[in-house]
Amino acid sequence: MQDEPDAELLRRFAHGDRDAFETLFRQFEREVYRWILRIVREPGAAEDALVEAFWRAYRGRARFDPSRSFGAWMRRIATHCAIDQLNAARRRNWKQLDDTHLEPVGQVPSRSESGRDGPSVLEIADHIRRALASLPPKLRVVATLALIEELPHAEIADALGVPLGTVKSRLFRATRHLRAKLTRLGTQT
Amino acid sequence: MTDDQLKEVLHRAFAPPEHEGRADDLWTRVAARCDEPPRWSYVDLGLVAAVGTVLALFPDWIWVLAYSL
Repeated sequence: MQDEPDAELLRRFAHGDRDAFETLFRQFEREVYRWILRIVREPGAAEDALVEAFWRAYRGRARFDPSRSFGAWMRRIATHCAIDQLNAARRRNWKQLDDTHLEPVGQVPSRSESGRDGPSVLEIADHIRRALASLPPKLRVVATLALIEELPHAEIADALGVPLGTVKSRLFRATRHLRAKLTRLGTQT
Repeated sequence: MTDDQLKEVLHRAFAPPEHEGRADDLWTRVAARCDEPPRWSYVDLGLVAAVGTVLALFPDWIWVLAYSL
């Protein structure tokens, strides 16, 4: 994580100093963007979430305790903005994510039908992406950070602002859901 | 499918996101957003409507509201 800004800068930010806020934005923008991108995995959505995250930080500046880590506070806000982005995307695409629109891999035109030997790697990858996207965003975030990014559970819990047990139970539910969905789709490793 | 197999499948399907290449300066968007007047959310509007309705039906409850504020 980024070096912590000096206490005076944080104090000025908490009192609404716009220059201090811009300095903090310039210092943390890249790290926050990367973090959000790891969750939403789409640059346009990550930019929108980043703007939203810094706006929320500015709006909630009075609640920030300058004696605590700005980076950790910002990461938590960014995580919730990323979840909101996933929720918005899910509402937009709910029809595409509906199971009825997913054909089992066995029914996807196979290589043998089209002169090939079975579903292509791209077809299987597409099913896996859809299976993950079909998870409720709170579960999807945990699954993405734990299974794809392989972050420690404690770090995920800190970023979400939830107890470690909540992360474990969400991961369990997400894994069970993914497994069931991928099995139903006939996706094999 | 074991946990390791599931991880492997996910890793194969999701390439690491591209971190670099963002040229836009987003500070102007953040600054503009901070200067916008506060927006009312549906929750805020719903709350105001609920309080208004309750006060219209039970005007005496204004004292309860005044006390809680």
